[in-house]
Amino acid sequence: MGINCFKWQNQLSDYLDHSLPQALEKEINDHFNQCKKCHALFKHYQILMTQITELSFSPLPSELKKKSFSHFSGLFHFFTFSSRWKLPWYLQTFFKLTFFLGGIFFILSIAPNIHEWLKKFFTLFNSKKFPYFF
Amino acid sequence: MTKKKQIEYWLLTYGNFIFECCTALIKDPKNTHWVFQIIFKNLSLKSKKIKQFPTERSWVIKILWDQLHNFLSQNHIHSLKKPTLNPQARLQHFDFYFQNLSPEDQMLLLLKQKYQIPFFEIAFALHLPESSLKFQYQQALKMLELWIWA
Repeated sequence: MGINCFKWQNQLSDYLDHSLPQALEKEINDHFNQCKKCHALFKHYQILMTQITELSFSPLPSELKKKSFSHFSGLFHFFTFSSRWKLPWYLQTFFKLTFFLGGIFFILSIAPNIHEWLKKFFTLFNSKKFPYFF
Repeated sequence: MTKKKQIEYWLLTYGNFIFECCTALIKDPKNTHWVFQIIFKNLSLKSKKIKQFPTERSWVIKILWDQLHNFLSQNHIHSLKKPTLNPQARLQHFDFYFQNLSPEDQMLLLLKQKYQIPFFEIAFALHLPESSLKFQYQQALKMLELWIWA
């Protein structure tokens, strides 16, 4: 089966990677010898690939390195038990659960007083009427 | 390995790679720094997902890609081609034409060509079929070829 202009372009990425079977690669090379247009196109792709490889970017600034490192390490030291205290998993789970349930209990316990606090807050600022919005 | 050491290791191993990708796609240094930090935050937060990937690098690519895509989908401006006379002059401005590609294409070309990451690894990281990636790669090259030599 011969290779034509359309077929080799369909296998362009594999050809550029040299991952095609040798026989097929040879067929494509033979096609380049016959078709100047495809040969020129292939040369263009090679130039493009070189250009991409040679793209240069500024390296990672040391300031940013330190900043990211200090910022995230600090954050995770605060939130993770394991990095600071090295507790076994069952104790970590126990503390986390206690903290979570304690939070819920605290919110529930202050809920009835919220109305009273709001009332006091509005009287502090001499409002004529307490706004009953709930 | 503690979290502190892990972050230090990621910074040493992938810091430059991530920063270069960010610089290539986001030209504004302020935003580059910001996205870089978000990527590192995500690396630290999603470290448990490494096990779902064949290599650590593909997991890094996945997070890098997700964050860059999120940012660029809102901020990418597709500018017009610079009117230059001949292909040689256009090649001098290759960086400009490269930026005209979609963020996906830029990222793919960079990963494949500059960092020599094989297709299967990129495909796994992005949850895409390898054949689609190869097709996208070919289309991106063809697009560049058209812009410069047509």
